[in-house]
Amino acid sequence: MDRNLQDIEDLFRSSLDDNEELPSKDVWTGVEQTLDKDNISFIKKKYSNLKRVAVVLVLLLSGLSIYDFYSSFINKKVIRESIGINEENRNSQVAKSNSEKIINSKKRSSEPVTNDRIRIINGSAKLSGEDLARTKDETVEKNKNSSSLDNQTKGKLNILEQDASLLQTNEWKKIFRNKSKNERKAYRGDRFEWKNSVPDDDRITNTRNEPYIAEVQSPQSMIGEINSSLVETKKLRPAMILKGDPNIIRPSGAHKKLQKNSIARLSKFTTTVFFSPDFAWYRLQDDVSDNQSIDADDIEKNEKHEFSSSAGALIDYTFSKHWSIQSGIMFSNTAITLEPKIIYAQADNSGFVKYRFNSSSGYSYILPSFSTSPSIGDSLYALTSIHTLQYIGVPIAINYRFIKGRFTFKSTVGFSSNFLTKGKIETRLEKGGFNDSEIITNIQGLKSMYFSGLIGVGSEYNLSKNIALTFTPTARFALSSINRGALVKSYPNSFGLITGLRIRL
Amino acid sequence: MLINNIDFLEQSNQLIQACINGDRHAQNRLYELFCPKMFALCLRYAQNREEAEEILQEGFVQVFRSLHNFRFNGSFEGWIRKIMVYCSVQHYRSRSKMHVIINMDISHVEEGVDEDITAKIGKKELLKMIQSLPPAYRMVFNLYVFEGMKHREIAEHLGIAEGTSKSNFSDAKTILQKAVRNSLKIANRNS
Repeated sequence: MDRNLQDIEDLFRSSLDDNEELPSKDVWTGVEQTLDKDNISFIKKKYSNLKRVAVVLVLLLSGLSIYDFYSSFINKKVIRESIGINEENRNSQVAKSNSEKIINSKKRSSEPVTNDRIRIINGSAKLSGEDLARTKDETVEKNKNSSSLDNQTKGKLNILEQDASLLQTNEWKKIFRNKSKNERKAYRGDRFEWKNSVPDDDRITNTRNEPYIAEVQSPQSMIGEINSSLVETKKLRPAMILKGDPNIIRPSGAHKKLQKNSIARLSKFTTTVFFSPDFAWYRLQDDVSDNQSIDADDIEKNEKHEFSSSAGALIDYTFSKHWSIQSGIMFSNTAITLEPKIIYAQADNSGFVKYRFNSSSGYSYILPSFSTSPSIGDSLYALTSIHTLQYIGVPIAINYRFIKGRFTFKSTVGFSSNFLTKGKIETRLEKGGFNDSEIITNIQGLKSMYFSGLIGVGSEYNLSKNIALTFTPTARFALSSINRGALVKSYPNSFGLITGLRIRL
Repeated sequence: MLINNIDFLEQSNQLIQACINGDRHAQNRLYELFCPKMFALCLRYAQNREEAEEILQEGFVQVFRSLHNFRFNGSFEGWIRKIMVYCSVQHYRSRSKMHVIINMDISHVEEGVDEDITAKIGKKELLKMIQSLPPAYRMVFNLYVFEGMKHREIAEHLGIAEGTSKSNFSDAKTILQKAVRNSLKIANRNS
């Protein structure tokens, strides 16, 4: 056989190695289309974790809002009921007292009713209930005797007549109680108007010409305070006598304010901004699905946890005196040092021969610049490496608190969904005088999410009504492994000293 | 050639960076820069032009996907070439079940030709000869001759025994020798 045909491979190599050909334009179109699809799926993937966090937060906030609405509804109901009971007790006393006073007033019926019964006290016009009753009697008497009363006087008489009868018979209470809710509102809306605050001006008008219920302040005195300006007559509520002179009926605005103040509470939401130095460790378990020769003990010997930390912001919702629910966002950073070791080349999942770098989180394939085409079994030296894991956690926890002086003691139990944000191994590879730094970001087997439980006991020092310093040693333990299909299953645990500031929103 | 004429290193680094950032114009430029060479490579691994274009497309998609892994240390062309070879092997593996084993008569190789073959047989014809090889032979021949792989490495890449790789290579050589001889005969007859 001739020389050329003996070295046929050389013939082909020399002829075709530098050959160039142009493909059709469809190839680039196809490449472009595939890259466009890639971009879309990358964006989807990029935001999928954020979407998860957003969904969890939305659900949490919705739950809290519903609970808040429901609990405030229940509170209002309870307050209304307690007001009703108090009113009943008070009104029965008032009625009793009124009867006595009316009897007394009848005894003094010979005294003429004069305008001086309306007195100015501290800038307010006051009409004694006693006089009111007597005036009614007098006016009724006059009404009978005189047929020349004008309409205004008749109106007054009607009003006073009703007052008298109500006060005497205690019927007003029954009427009021029997009124529907809307009617009660209408009664509350009735207004007295003193045309002039001057006592001599004895013109009392009911602006709506509707019957009204006379104000009854307390069983002891039948004094009603009427501001010189427009005053709403209201049925007495316990809240009105919580503050100030119990004999004074306050205008409706003030009444509302007082009532509000009496039931006003501090905000149920608090936020805690914290930082926590963490003492981290992990529990490793051999993964039976992996056929590598390295086991959990080998990896554990080779790795050492460094300073880790977490920080974040938590929101508490207090739903009872002692209990609150907590959620928020927590960023954690765990660092692990890997001792120097020899790594070997083997075929990756795609058939390419690369150096395999194993860690507790997973494995990865690398090709240093000085050894781009290794053969299976080739080895090189990986110097000390640093493995970093970063997660964003969304915890949901229940807190139990009790206050002792300026201190609040609390215990926390809950769980957290942790989303991987970064898994990185920084290493330096060396072989025969060559070396190269490698940053591995694609760790095979590392899951994008895992669950952990948390339990903590701590205390808070209340600096003021709204601000407290908090210190809560908390243990976090993995409920699921952070990896799958790797060398070992890794369950990270940590003990953190959560220190922060708790602010009432 | 464009690649050799310009200060390629600096320009290509900028180009690569732009491609990593997703600049479609830069990606197109990179493609145009390397596609003639890579297409020629794909043609050797494929049975026909269409199949070669398929491999080329897959290869360039893979290049753009893993461009961020390029370390800027070695030859960029070598890096792309490696990806193209890898894609060709993958393509072969994915279609290996569809390949029909052709029993070729490789026992008789005529001897006695002593001529300047390259002067008489064009590149296209040589390429056609490679393309007409059975896929398994073609793969082994390409990896051994053009990529400089050893039979052990070829065996690992293709998932075959080392002995099979050697045997395939030997058979491929025999087939090609026969094809070259026939081509020379025809060329001599025509001249």
